Amino acid sequence: MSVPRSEITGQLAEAVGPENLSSSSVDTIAHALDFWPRALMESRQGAWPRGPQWVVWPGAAAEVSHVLRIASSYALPVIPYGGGSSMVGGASPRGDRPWIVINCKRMCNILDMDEVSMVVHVQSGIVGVELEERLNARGFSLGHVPTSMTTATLGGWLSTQSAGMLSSRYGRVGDLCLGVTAVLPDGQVVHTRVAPRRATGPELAHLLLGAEGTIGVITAAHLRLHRLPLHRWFDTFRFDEVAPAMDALRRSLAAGVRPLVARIQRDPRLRRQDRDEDAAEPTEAELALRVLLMAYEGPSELVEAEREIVRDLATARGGEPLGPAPARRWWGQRFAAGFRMTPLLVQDCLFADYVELGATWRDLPGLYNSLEEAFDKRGWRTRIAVEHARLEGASLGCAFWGEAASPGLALEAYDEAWNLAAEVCHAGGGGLGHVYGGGQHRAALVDASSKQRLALLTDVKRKLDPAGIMNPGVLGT
Amino acid sequence: MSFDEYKKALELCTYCPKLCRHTCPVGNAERREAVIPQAKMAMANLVRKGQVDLTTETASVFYHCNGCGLCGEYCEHDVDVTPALFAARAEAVDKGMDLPSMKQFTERFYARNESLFRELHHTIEERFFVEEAQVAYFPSCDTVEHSPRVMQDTLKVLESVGVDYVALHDGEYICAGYPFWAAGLMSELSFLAKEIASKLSNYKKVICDCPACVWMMRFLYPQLGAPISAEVLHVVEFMDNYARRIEVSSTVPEAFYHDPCYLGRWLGVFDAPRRLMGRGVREIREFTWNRERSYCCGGGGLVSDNLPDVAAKIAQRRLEEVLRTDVPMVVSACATCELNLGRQSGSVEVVNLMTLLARLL
Repeated sequence: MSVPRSEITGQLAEAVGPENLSSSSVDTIAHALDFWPRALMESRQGAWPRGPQWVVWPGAAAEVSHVLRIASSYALPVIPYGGGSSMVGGASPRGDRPWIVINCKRMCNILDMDEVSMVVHVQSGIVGVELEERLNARGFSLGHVPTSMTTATLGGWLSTQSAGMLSSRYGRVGDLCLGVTAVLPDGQVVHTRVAPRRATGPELAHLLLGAEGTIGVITAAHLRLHRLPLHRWFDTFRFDEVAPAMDALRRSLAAGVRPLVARIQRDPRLRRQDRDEDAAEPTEAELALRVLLMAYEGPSELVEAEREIVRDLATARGGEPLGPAPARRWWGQRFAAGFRMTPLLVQDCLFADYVELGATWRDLPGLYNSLEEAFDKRGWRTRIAVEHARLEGASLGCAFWGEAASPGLALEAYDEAWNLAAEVCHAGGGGLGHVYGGGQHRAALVDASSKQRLALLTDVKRKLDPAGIMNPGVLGT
Repeated sequence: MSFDEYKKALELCTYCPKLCRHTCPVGNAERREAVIPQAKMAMANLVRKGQVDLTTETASVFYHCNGCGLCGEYCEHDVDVTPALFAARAEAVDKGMDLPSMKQFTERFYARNESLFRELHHTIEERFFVEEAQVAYFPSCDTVEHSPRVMQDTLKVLESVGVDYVALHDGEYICAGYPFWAAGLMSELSFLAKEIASKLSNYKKVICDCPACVWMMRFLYPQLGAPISAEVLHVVEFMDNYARRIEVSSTVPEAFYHDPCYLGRWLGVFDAPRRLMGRGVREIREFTWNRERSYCCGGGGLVSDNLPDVAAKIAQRRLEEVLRTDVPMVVSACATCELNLGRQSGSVEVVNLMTLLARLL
């Protein structure tokens, strides 16, 4: 099907206003890539990839609807765009056909705030930190704090089922979402009902949450709020190895503790940048050390009881109490992790990425060890943390990096590393993409059970998006 | 510095997941991906590497920057975006790809300078222009053009604390050249810096009411081969030594203090203006984004000239917090801030610190 570009340009200008449409080189270049390390590594050598033909900034669901009807009629791919910070190619280009980017950032207003029910109705293009600051000014918090806080939009979070650092207490963003407004590929605007619990069939919002823009464009959401806490408490315990730390955390959650943060990671004293220059290399035993970082908020009586439960369980498993300082320090630097990959990506022969595997507690220790061993054997570096702990399991966040002899070999090693992570994950009973979506990248790395799920999702997508315009190639649908 | 000397910073930004997006006044005002700090730096890098052609269109994004430096404050890699983007502007100038609105900038600069010179001598009594003074007062171009009252007020406050040895600098040039730097006109800046430095070096101290001028004279002039032997201070730094001597006859109940980017973030002067303000304001209200994280007024980087609507939105955003309160006043110590915030402040008064103190004497 040929693409009458000027005709489409005219129609899009009518849909969103000419000032909210661009095909200029600066706008298309700016939307050509997201933060998918593989695509960025490719761009280090070759040409910068071409961008979309059109970028539109709709101001409301009605304008999104108009754009999608135009796209459907010409079978043009559409990529909904929030912060463009996807690490899995969720907003990266694909295919030969010219495509439209719907940049949602004009839709950035708080539409209503019900302080009695503690519910906010907000448009999806608002950047996370801006939403949180506006809520904080009125004494509330969303309780969703991912590393992408300062760059991603609410729509991006909802579309990838983002899990933030406070997910042990508040859940992932989908758990905070009471309803959405979304535009389907045929232009239909749907509002899912906002009400406390009901039993009237499957929740339609769940079809859109985590769909990464493959089903429709989320334009607004009703979100549950929390009171801004007056105090936070921190505790740290050091263990000789990871398994007893996991055990202490699992039992704490099972006992009813609802920590704000619960995280197991390598002892921060071993971090290269935190050690004296003339300090000896860490021993095997030191390298095995892990710390359990805990943070709490809420009424002090409840928090004291929670802290006591964790303290008892941790010390009974050999955990050495280190006091609040290390956990508080981590909290103070909680956004720094987002900066760590960049210095690796600017070097032509290095490769780096971040893989997260979810597993139930039964499988988690084995998976942790297999993952660490598998990467160690190849000489690739890892930094693995247990995050997003919940009653039934947790996530392993694994930053990995390595060096190859040439830029081409770095790409090959990168792919090999991902295949290895997927292999270890599937063999160990885990699931990939626990935290922020699948994008284009992880679509190829799914296991058998996910394939069946994706086949069903594809059937649903075919019904709603017969022209296949919505973010094609993402999620394997 | 040449464009290539910013390679490391440009590369780091190109491969960053846009973590400073929220800090950029221009990016927030335009809500356009191409003008967030990461995208502007990436564009400069792609041009540097030859992956994208330098055209007037691609170069245009370099001008969507206030030069406020807030993004660098947030950056874990300490990337300094302002000088890199100003160097990119210089590259655009060299290749004839700068903004059409930048044409004949030099001619307009000197025409304005001439007009300001006349204005300065019209506003200030000749007795204040003394050649042999030890301390020279170098008012900024925006002060002379938009807030000439500030000069008289500064002299009044100085006199009130017994400082009568400060004279107005009677030089040919009223502007220290920030517009040249922001326009990417480095050879013009270099010439001007040398001219001004040779004159100001005759004094022991130079005080200036423009934070950007002070920063340039202290840090950029030496890089251009134009060091000033005199100590260069912002007016509030100088006045801070005499803060306790300021006796006011009345006070203001409360007012917000707006940290100008160059006085705060760039020069590290945070407490002196608050101490001075405390002489006449009973409660100093703080913005949520204050001190090192102060949000720009929108006036810097030539944004108010090239993109006035954007500058207006930035000022509106800065003032949102004030307008939610009943506080009737915002105090600052930079003529550009007063000008840009004042245009959007409605019933809220935006006033220079020296003017406020002079009024309360």
